[in-house]
Amino acid sequence: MIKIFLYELRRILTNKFFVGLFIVTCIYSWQTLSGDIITGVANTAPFSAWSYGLYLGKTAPLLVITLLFFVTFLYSRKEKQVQSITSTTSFSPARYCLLRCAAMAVGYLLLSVAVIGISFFFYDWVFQFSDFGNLLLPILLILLPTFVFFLGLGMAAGRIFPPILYGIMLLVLIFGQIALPPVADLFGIQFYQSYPLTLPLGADGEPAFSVPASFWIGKILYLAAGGLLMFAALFKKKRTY
Amino acid sequence: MNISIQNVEMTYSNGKQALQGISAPLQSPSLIGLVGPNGAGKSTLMKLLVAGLLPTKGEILLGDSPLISKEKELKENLGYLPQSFGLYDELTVYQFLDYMAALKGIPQSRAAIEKAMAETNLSQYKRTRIRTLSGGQRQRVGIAQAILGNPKLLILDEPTVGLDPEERINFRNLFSKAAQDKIVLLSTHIIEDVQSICNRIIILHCGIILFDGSPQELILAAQGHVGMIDQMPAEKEEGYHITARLNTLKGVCCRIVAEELPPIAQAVDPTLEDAYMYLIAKEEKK
Amino acid sequence: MSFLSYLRVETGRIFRSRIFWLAAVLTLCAPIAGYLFYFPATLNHESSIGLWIANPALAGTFGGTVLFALLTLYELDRVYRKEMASLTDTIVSTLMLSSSRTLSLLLAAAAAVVCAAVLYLPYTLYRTGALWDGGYYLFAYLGLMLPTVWSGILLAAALYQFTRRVELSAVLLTALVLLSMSQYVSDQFLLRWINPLVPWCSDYFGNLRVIQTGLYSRLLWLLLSASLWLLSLPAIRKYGYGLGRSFLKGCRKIYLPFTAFVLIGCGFGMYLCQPFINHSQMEYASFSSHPMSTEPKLTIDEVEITCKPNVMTGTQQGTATYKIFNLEKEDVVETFIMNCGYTIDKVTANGETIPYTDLNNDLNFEKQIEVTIPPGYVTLVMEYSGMPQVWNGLRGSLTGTVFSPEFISLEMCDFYPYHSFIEHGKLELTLPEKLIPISNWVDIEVNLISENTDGTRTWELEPPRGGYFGNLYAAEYIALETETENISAVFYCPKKQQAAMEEVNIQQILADVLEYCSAHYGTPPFAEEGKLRLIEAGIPAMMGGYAVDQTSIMSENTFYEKIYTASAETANSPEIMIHEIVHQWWGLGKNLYDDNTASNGWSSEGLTTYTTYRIIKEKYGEEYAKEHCVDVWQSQADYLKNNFYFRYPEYLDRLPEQYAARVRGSVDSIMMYSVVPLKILKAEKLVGGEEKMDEILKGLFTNQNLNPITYADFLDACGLTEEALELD
Repeated sequence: MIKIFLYELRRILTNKFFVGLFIVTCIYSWQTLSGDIITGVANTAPFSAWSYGLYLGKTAPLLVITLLFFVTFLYSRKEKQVQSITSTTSFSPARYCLLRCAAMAVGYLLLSVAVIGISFFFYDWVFQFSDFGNLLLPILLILLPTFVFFLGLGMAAGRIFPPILYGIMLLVLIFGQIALPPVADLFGIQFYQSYPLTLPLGADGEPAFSVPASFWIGKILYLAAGGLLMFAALFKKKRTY
Repeated sequence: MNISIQNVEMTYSNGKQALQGISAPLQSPSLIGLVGPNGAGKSTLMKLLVAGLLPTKGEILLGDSPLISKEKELKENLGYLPQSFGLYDELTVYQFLDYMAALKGIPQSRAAIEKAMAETNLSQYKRTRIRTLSGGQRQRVGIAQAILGNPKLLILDEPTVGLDPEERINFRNLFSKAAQDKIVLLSTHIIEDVQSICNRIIILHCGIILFDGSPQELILAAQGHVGMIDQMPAEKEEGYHITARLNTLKGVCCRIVAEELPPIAQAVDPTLEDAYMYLIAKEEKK
Repeated sequence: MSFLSYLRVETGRIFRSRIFWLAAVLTLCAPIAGYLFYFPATLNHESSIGLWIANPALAGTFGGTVLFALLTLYELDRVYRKEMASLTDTIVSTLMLSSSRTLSLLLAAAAAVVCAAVLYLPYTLYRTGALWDGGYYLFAYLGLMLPTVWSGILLAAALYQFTRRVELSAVLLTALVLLSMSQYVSDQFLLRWINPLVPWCSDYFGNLRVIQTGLYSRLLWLLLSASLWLLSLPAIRKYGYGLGRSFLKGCRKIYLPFTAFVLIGCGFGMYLCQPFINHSQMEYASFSSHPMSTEPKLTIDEVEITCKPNVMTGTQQGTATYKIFNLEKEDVVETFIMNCGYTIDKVTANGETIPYTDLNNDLNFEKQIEVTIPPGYVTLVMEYSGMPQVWNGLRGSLTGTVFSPEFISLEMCDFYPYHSFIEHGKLELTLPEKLIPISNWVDIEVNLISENTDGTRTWELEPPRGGYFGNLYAAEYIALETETENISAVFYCPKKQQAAMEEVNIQQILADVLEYCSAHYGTPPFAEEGKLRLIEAGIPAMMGGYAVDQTSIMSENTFYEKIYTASAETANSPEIMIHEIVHQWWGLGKNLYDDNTASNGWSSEGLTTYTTYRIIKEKYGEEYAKEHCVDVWQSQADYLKNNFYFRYPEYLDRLPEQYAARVRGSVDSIMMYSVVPLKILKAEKLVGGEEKMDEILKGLFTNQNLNPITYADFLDACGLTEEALELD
């Protein structure tokens, strides 16, 4: 099982797309940090959890697009042809699919680590700031639900009609630009810019990082929806006739 | 291993009826040639046998239990080469077989892979990326993954397509050897392959089994229905199934298949191909 | 079969493809986004040309380019996906087939763009009405949209032919789109591919510079994409080879890489030698610009200049004749400054050609020319020509000196190679007959000296201050007169706008402002002898406004009719217009200055902004003024107070200078335009209300001893302390 996982991981990481998107994401991360984040978001410090939330929210669409590219590998024409062989082995299709999801998760994680690493380097270089503990919550709040939701959505869409995946990629880019209420704001781009302005200021003049219940509920709903879609895509019995 | 196909019907969602109530027992050891015209239902039958499809009627038993309930057991003992398939181009031959071995859950995979590569003449391409292989070499990788781990049921859909004559003979021998202790089901259009190695032949036509028996039995059935005409009048060519036609100095020499041979024809011993043609022609006439 | 036959069958096939029709229909729909939510011409998207022509066409450009690039990938890949290539490659050369396929896509795209232009024509005509500009419409669809869509097709085809992978090509194209839309290139017209830079649209003053830069950038992208496509043709896979070997084999057709490299060379040449933007640094260096020598080694008694702008090409040709006395007994190298876009064609001294050096050291708006002047009396003649260039710092807005059929704007060193020692200057300017020149300085008279037979008129300027000609604006101006009890004014607006301005009764609006200020603070010094002049300048020259003695200059976006016609609840108040008029009292009538301006924000802007608020309050009501002025100042002040860098200035020092400058600029602006007005408002409450404050301000305005008025003067007049006005 580990061997299959490692092979899948190797196939993902040595893929030209991953390499290309990795470079694009790194450049975009730096651009976002030095453009939008450096002056601080909603009057907070550039290294506040709020500013960091916006940074991750802005880079998340690229992470999602990379993830969706991974998903397209599952449903490509070439993959279907290979499946004519692999599906006749005794390896459970659900487990096989889970393994590949795990490989995709590691790919996504690596990209996330790059995005986070770039930001830490940037903060240390420009502001000599290295207290990264408070940034953990925004990291989890954005990257985890985004991963689960879009993996589930991507797998379900790929199962129905693979070209939809490219449409979703386009929608992801648009999604980041639309003003949404906190419950629906998956990337939190609007939320992180506007919500801190409504909060009381602490002794240091910064609003403490706390998100409203609706934002939490939204994240949980996205997680649940992603989980359900993934479950449906994994375990729906499929016989072609 | 013992598989029993019982009154299996298969109708696709578009209404196309691929199989119409066919039955056949498959027992090891045997090397079964599955032949029939295009669209006869051969690939559908194979997909049913590898649990890639479920029959719309009837059932397939593995031992005494329905195949669907023993899918895992079936797949643990299955080697399958589909008619068209894909490979992970970015992996080397060894890596791909290693990957497949892991999927098949083969213990001591290294030895099994080495053996499969040796049997398919791929040892020299062990570290070659699949994207650089020729069509025939890719076909051999397909066969190698099918025979990997010595499965008890080997289902091969057109395995010798794209292979050179020498390779074809090698593989025929390989399949023949493999069939000593297992079921090998070989779908092919090359009657010569069936004649050389199969101990049983199943002829499918329009979703039904026209013939199920040994090649010799099929040949016997065509005895007296195959003849040679040395000087075939051009206007009579249309009335017969001509299996060979040779232009000679005297005129056109034809080998014909017919229910009743014309007087000018000289009866000859039928080959398996003649017998197959006779059977199909007879069915089409009906 | 000839190439044309292949082209015919390929084009026929494309037009029978459902996917093409889908792409074409979506391309036709794309301009709708420009009506609804895509407003790239953002600096003044209220203009009719912007709203109804530029934005839809730019939306169509973006959508059409994406769609046709994807269609190209789909069509090129289909040949391999459906395994058609194995059949066709044995019949036709892959080169010919691929060329005809791409060309047929270009033809199909042209058909779609022309259809879009025709489809939206009636609606555009209806919406723009009298402001319809057919030339601009053609430019928008055929000059911007079509070449961009074509370059999208060529780039997509090139990427596919290089990579032979649809997904990889799509990713590379997406990266290019993102790069084109990123902040890195947002102010660089040449590097913006899918979203051409159209920062403004002018309804009344022409759009020549945007059209020129737009066409230039499209040509560059067409050249680059065509060269990349040509370079990709040898990369089409053949003989079972991969990219490298196929490319090497393909390069045996030497004309392909050769033409490609020639085109790339042309593209780079175009990039490096673009004539529109100068090469100055982005930040404004200083107002003194290039240093001029302080110890004169010569005197320049007189300069006579003849300028002949060519409004069709946006260039001018001029001759400046200087009467010089070189005090030294030897050659003196003297430096002149002129617009970076001009080149010196010839310099003669007493009829002899003499050497000169164009230092090409662009700084702000100008560069230096060094001329070696012989000793004694010298008649120096400098012939110069070229297109005036936009300062690099304004490259994102493309505003600056312009020569166009509808509008001309000229500043100091745009007239001629300038020198500060000139005693007396005279300038003859030949303009199309419909253009009427007005100087921003009331004492620089502009006189018509001849009506020429070629449809031009020659004007003469003779400034009282040596060779300084101020700023000159020329358009088809008409003068709208306004009279009040104490002061009269004349408003120069374009003739095309006259009806609209009279419709909104602009004279009355101006009169209201003048009356308010005169009644509350007194009349400015010029009121007895002269008139206040208001000049509407075209957006091609500037955005916003400024005021000089007796003259307030405002850009055309200050005078959009809807600012004055819409109800108070929805209108953009005519703030800029009022603000610039009020500057005739605060700033020009009385200068406000403080040594501590950098820290306390005290300047003419604070009191001008406060007065503007008072006028708006009187005109539109308290609620409206609070919402549009006081609340805005307050939110800006809050923003400043809460801003991280304001709270922790030590972090500002850690920022790279470009970001620190951005933050400091924003702080200064908020201090001047929001914090100081809030303090004056607070003072108003503390001194006992508006009437009391008006009395105080009137006292300050009429006090002859105070010039400039400092913050301390203001506090003394109010009887308040600095601490008392600190904001909460």
